[in-house]
Amino acid sequence: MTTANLIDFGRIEGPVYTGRDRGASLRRDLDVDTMDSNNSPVEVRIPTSTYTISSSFFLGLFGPSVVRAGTKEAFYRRFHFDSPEFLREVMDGYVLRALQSRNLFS
Amino acid sequence: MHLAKRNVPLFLRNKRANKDARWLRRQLKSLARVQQSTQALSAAFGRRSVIVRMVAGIAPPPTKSTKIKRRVGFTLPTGFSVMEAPEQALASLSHLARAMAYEGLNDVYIDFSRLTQYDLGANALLDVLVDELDTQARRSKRVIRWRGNFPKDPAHVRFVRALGVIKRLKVEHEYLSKGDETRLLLFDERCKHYVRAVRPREADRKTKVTVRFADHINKCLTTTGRTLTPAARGRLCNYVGEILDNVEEHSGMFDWSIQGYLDTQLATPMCEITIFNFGASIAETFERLPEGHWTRDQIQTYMDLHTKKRLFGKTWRKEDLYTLLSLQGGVSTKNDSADSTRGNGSGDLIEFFQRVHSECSNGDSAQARMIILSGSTYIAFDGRYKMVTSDTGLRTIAFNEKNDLRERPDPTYVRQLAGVSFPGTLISVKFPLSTAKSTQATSAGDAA
Repeated sequence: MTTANLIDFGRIEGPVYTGRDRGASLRRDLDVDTMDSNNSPVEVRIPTSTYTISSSFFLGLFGPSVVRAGTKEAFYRRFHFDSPEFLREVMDGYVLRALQSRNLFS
Repeated sequence: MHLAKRNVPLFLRNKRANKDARWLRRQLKSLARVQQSTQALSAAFGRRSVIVRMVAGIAPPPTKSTKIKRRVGFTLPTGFSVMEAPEQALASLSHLARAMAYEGLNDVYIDFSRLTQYDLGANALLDVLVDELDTQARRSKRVIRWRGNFPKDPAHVRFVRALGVIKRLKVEHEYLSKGDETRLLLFDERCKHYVRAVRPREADRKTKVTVRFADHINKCLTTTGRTLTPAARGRLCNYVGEILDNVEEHSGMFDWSIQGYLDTQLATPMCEITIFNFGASIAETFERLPEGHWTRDQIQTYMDLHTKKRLFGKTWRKEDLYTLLSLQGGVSTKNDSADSTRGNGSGDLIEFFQRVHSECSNGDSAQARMIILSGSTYIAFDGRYKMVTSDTGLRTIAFNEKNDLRERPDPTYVRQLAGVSFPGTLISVKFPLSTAKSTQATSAGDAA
């Protein structure tokens, strides 16, 4: 795995990661779109000192990748998260939300 | 040979002249800085406060023209509470803001003597008005004389001294005693930056405030021997961060406030939180969506259903339905296709409240409550109606027995504010701390 495919939250000021704009802006900064188009694996390191990653930040950063992957399993096959235990379930929820139907009538 | 050795008087004269020139340069630099900051403030603030103008517009102007006065007497109504008496509280603030619009104003008397109900939300709005008037006066180099009395209830007195106008105007001789102060836990942050620069690798203002707020709530809980587990702290940061993000994204203004208050001297200490912003209301952001917009089409289906069923009337309007629909999972004015991933913030907030409510409900009369005011719509939460997650993962809360958005909601919980309209969105939460079962010292991480 190349270092280009490492997303290290330890190098991004926390301990709270929130805001759609910040997430989307970080996506551009890290060039996650290119990682997606290369279909290359990505290692995501989240330090234990992290308080939270909000759904808007997470989906701003990874949302298009989740939608592109199509399923939760496909997303996690490419994105490997090394994170505190309590955040895993939370991020699972975000991934599912990104995949759910937006239609109120469905 | 050095000048100091050749011609001492000339050397000293030159030295003094250089020193004077340096001093002058420093002065000019400092003057330029002051002018620059004054210009920046002028550009952002304007000649008169935009916020004061917005609050003045909360209620329609009186039919009889009122005399412009240099002296204003502001009597707080008996119910100065956005939770219990929102119309009364907002109308009185509008009255004060209208009086404050006069530039020659030089004397304000605030009368708290009739007060029987008081809450953090109303107090916070009054704080902002006082702050704006003070800034406006300083900018026009005027001095306003602030006078007033205190409420009768000692708990309200503590409130006013600790977080109200006393603190806002820095009336130090009226501050609380050290003893009383240590028994109160306060949180007060206001963002009035009008420009936002996103630096993805740096934590922004709302992120830092969110961290401090979580620490404040943790401090509140330690008064009852509890503490937030990492998971609970994470969830709390999540809710607050999402609210502030929504506020900045949708309202069109970056003026938001967040306050927290806990008086541990009360028989049942109530933890109060209020978050509000000025700018476009929820309904206004939906109304502004262009024809053919994906979210507008989604919403329109409900609009048509309510119109067809003749549900709309004087007390149930399109604005109220817009606000209600905005709370549903996956609904956001920023969604432009079925693949968009926005519209989770409100659902997260409601889930937060539902957790708090279930933790606090043990038959005690003091129950957790939450309200959302946006424009002229009032939505109350007290645990009766719950947000339900469907099989497809979509979260809905319709405030009726069937939890059906095609039906009208219970008017006690979702209603129009009579005669007033808040220029922005305000969320206020109140929950008893002594009865809270959650956060039992590091238990399972399912607190709050």
